[in-house]
Amino acid sequence: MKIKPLTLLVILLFFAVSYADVPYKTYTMGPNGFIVETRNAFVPEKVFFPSIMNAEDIFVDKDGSIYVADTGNMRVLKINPDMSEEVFSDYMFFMPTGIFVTDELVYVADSGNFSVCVFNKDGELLKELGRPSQPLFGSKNQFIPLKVAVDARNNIYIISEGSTDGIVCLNSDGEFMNYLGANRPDVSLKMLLQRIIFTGAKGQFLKLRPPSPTNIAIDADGIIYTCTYGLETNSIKKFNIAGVNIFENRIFGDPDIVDIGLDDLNNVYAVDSNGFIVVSNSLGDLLFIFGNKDSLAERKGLLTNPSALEVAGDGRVYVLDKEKNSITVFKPTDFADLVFRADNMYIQGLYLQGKDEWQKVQTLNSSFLLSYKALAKAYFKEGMYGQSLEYFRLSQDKGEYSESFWQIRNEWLQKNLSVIFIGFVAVFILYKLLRFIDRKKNIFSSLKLFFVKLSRVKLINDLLFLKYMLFHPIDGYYEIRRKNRISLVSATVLYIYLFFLEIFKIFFTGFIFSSVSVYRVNLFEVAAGIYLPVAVLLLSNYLISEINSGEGRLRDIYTAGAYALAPYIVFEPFLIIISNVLTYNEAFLYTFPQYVVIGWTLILLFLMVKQIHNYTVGEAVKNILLTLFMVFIIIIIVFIIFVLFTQEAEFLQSIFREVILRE
Amino acid sequence: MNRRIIFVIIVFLCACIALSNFEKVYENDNYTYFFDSHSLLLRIEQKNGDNVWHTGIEQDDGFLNDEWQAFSSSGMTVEYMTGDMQSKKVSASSDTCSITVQVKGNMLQINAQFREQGFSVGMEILFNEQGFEVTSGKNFISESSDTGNRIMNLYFFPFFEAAIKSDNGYVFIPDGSGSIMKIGKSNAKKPYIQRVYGSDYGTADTASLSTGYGINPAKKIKIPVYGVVSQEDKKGFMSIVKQGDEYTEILAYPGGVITPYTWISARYIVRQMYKKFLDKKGTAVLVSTQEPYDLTVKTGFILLCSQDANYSSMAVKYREYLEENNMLSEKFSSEKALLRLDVMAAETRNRVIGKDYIQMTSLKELKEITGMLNGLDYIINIFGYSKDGYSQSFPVHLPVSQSFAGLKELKEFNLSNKNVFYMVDYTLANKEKTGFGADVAQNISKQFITSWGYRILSPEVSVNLYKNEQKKFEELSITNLSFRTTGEVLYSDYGKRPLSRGQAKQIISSSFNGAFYNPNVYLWKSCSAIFDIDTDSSGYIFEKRSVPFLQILLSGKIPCFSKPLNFTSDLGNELLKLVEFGVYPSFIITQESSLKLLETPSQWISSSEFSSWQDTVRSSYDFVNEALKEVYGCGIISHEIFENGISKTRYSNDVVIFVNYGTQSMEYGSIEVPARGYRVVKDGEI
Repeated sequence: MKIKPLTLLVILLFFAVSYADVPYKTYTMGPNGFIVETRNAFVPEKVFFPSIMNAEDIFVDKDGSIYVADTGNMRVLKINPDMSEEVFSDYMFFMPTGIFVTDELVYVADSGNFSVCVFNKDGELLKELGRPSQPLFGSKNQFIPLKVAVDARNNIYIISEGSTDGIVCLNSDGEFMNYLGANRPDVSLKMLLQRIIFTGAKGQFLKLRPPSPTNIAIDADGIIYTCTYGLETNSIKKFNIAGVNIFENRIFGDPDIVDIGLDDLNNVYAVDSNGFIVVSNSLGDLLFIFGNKDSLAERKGLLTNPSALEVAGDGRVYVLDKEKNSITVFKPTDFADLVFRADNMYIQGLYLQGKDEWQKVQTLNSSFLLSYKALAKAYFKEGMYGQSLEYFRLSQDKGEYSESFWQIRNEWLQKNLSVIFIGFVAVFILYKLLRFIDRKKNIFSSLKLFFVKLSRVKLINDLLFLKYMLFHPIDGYYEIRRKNRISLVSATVLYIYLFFLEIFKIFFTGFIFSSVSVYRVNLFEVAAGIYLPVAVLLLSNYLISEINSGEGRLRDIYTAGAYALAPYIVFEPFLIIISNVLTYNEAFLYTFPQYVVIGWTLILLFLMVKQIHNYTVGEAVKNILLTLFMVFIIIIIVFIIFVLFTQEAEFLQSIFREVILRE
Repeated sequence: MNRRIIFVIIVFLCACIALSNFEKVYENDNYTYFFDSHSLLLRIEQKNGDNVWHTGIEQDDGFLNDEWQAFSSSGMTVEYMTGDMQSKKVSASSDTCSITVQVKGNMLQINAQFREQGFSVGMEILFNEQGFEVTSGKNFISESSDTGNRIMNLYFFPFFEAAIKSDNGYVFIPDGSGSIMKIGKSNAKKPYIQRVYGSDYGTADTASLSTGYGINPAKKIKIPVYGVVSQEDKKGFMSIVKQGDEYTEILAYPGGVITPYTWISARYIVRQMYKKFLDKKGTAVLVSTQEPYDLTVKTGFILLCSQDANYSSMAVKYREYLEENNMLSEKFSSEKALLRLDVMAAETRNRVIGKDYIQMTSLKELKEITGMLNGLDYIINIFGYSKDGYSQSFPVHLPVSQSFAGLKELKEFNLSNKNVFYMVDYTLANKEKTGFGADVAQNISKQFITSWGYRILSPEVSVNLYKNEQKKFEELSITNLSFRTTGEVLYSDYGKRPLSRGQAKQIISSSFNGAFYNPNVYLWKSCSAIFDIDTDSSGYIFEKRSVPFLQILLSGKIPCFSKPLNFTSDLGNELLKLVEFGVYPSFIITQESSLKLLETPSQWISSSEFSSWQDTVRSSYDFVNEALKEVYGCGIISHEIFENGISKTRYSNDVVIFVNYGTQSMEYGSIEVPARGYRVVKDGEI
């Protein structure tokens, strides 16, 4: 996930809301994976303009003093709680870009001096840590410290510019220990192709280098968090002791991320260069997105070019803006406090204890996703599976939904097993009885006659041929090709049926196995998604086989194509129905037949090409490959024509406008 | 003063004229007026006091470059566009300008001939007991076509009482409810420039109307008024744009933005710049309109001295002006209403085929809800009663959905409840509503005007739609309508029914009658209640704080209701603000849970179920009512905020309300105001 989808969700109207008088809107994750607007979580309390220039980092210590790495003025500025300013140390900084303050010490990363300096609180220099001399550090690795963080045992973690190996870890004496938390190189298809095509120096240039982390944060337990600018996913990482990222694919990513901060509950605050501040809980669930870019007007709470974020002990968020040379202080609202309290219970697994708080959250915002997750867990614990099922569904948590469903199904089965059993027996006996009577008295003769008559209707008869196709495809294709067994009407009926089957699938597949939100279904798209590929494939196959001595007529390809889908057509409805009573425990009962059906269909398709065109196996394979190539060509041609036409239209339009403009 | 002196001063160009040269031109009981016929600046001296007002910078103090120097020290500046599309400014004090001045009694007739630029602009200054009035406009302009220059904007006395610093002086900006900006150096880098009544969609590029996702739009200017308090309770002035307001922008420059001066001025638009699009991709050129607007400028400058020099006196004076000109009259009815309940009837959600009708509240349920709110004085505002629900109904609202109420039941309800409003919107059309394609307003580039997926209808169409439905509403015994959007926007239409902004204002203000959402001032005369009134400014960093300017104007005249408080993150604070500003609270109420609205356009209503809001509605009502019932129907006569954060609002019946937002109780004299609370005091007790 990344932050861009925000722009796609313009459900909001220009008159609709302005939640309170802050310049930005606040969002949270809503049910069904929608970002929804919510009441303000943080409001801008004040904006102040200390005498700083292009500052890169701030730190707020326990007393409320603010330390600013005042990069442009080559100094560290301390702003006392009474807002008086003092220069922290007379040390000659060159380019201070990172700062970290512990109870006794102040660490400053000076990238211009290639060192990290350690001061006491009075500004006296105690130590200057330069490039580690240990061979483990790597002989070619540079040491340009940008940011610094320190844990409770005074181990020092340094982000060094261009360090692809990760964070530089030093012990309290400044000796190099190891690297931590390197990013993985991002391999895109484009890069792979380039690497194959380019040689020599260009190839070297494209050597896979993972991006180095941008910023670092550390919590009270010494757990390290990093953020990396430019990563679409996993832009925030949280490393456990083993160095494994526990936010992997969990946290709301943001490629424009600049800095991260942590509050006392280890909620993660990330600020990006667009002025958005994203708050996630310690498990990576999205809580709030707020803030925005200051593009047209300078309003309190909007940011121009944020460079650092820090969360103070009282929960206030300090954001440094290096373009405006300002510090904006955001204060949590009652609503944010409530959510944090509730969330804290949820994280500790105190689902029942947190229930009241989450219910309050839900009263205040009925579309707060996390409230559904948390309450669902509470209801599950209380044994209210019906309620928890509904809430897990809203929160899109399929695993937990499956658990609740299992419980409900179990209860139902236990209650009704005897009835079901008796029912089965009764139906069986009834069937036997009726057959017996029928044999004696022939009571169903008229009904049988009716069915026989019905099966003689051409269309019905054609459709029943599906059954034959399933098991005798080769003979079936022979009949289709040589005996015109199937009418065009029946094939068309099947193609139409495909569309309705797809609709049925979208709406009636069990939640656990469904991947489409019914709210986002567009009938036109569904139809296009079926018929365009079918049409292009059939046409391509026809064109290719025409020049490849294929014997099939277009009519044969059309009808046989429909019948090649027989396994899918016949069995898919049953699978859709079954998916409604299965849980993840028996998922194979759904997925395995699904594969079988698909495999079966593919075999039928292959046989169709072979039989209809009267090919050998080799010829059939060749024909199929050529058909796929043809599809590719058609797509490209359509694309080119489309581009040409739009350009033509634009050209004509601009001439027209110009004529009008000249008047 | 009764002798008619007529004399003509013609000052020809002379390079050495640089010193200002003020001559007495007029005096009345209050003021003596001095005039400099070179720069066109006025200097006004108070007769029974020591105040002197400067309408521009009289001495060159070396802070400014030539262009800004001329601008700041002239009574008139013209912004024009050259033939090769360069924007330039020329001021009356420039060397290329020859000025003719005629004094006729209490009037100065001035004509400034800008020879090099090839145009002349005239103005009239009329002295009166309160100050003076400036008149100018299209009829005062003459342009020769030789130079290709086109006049774009006019300024009159832009640096009136501009100052570099002041102890407690401030500038009043009509941003939202009103805000004040301190005189002095600011950290801001950008000025405040806003069109009165918001931007004109007719000359804006439509794409710009849907930008700013995630941003709450800045507040608009509802009233064409601004002012400067040079020193609180000593000296100041205010300016009322009486005519030409629809073509006016207000500019406020904090100290440090371009000049060290803090100043505020109106800019009168003669021609509008706009983007002319050349192709679909959005390539555009910036051009100006050919013909000048039908602009008549009439702006009153009212001088404020001693206890009148503050924003609340400005508001009181403007209220008096509105009353005298029949633009504001008392609409408080005998039936008290101190709360507004917005009741959502239904919404629709698009499905794969057709729509779901999502019932939120039926009339029967609404009656039960009102039954549970016994003892409260409120109005009800129903929305989403159409058969298409809420969002998809506009701009046609009838027939009422059968699921909401049967016809007979509805009529009975309307007859027995006079406090019920039905929300309508004749300005926006839902894009899924067919049959309005031809009715959409067009901008000057002939683009259809849309905003966030809504189409904006031609003002004439809006009026016709209203007239068509009015009778049908009457048949249902519905007499009160509340107009969303219509009152907050003002735009010209360049489509099939061309209308200038001035004409649009004319037909809108004379056609609609009812409650309005946050309306502009020209609708107040036909407005029975105001919904969703601004209670804050936009929060620019140069703004010191917002002030209840709108509320002072409207107090005792039109009942004002807040935005729905369902979504506020700090209800306590919001209620205190309502008490301070004299605004009544509002809530959105539904019978069903708002979760039903998920994935509908009304998803923003994230909390509205009556059963969970009932207690809050009642307690909020009690909290606000306890204070505001004492001053029901009374006007605010003064409003102040003290250093310790306490605000004091005094009403015409001599009741004073103190509000304390702090977490500690505060004292004002002998009066203690509780923490996060208020005190209502009769005047005698202070």
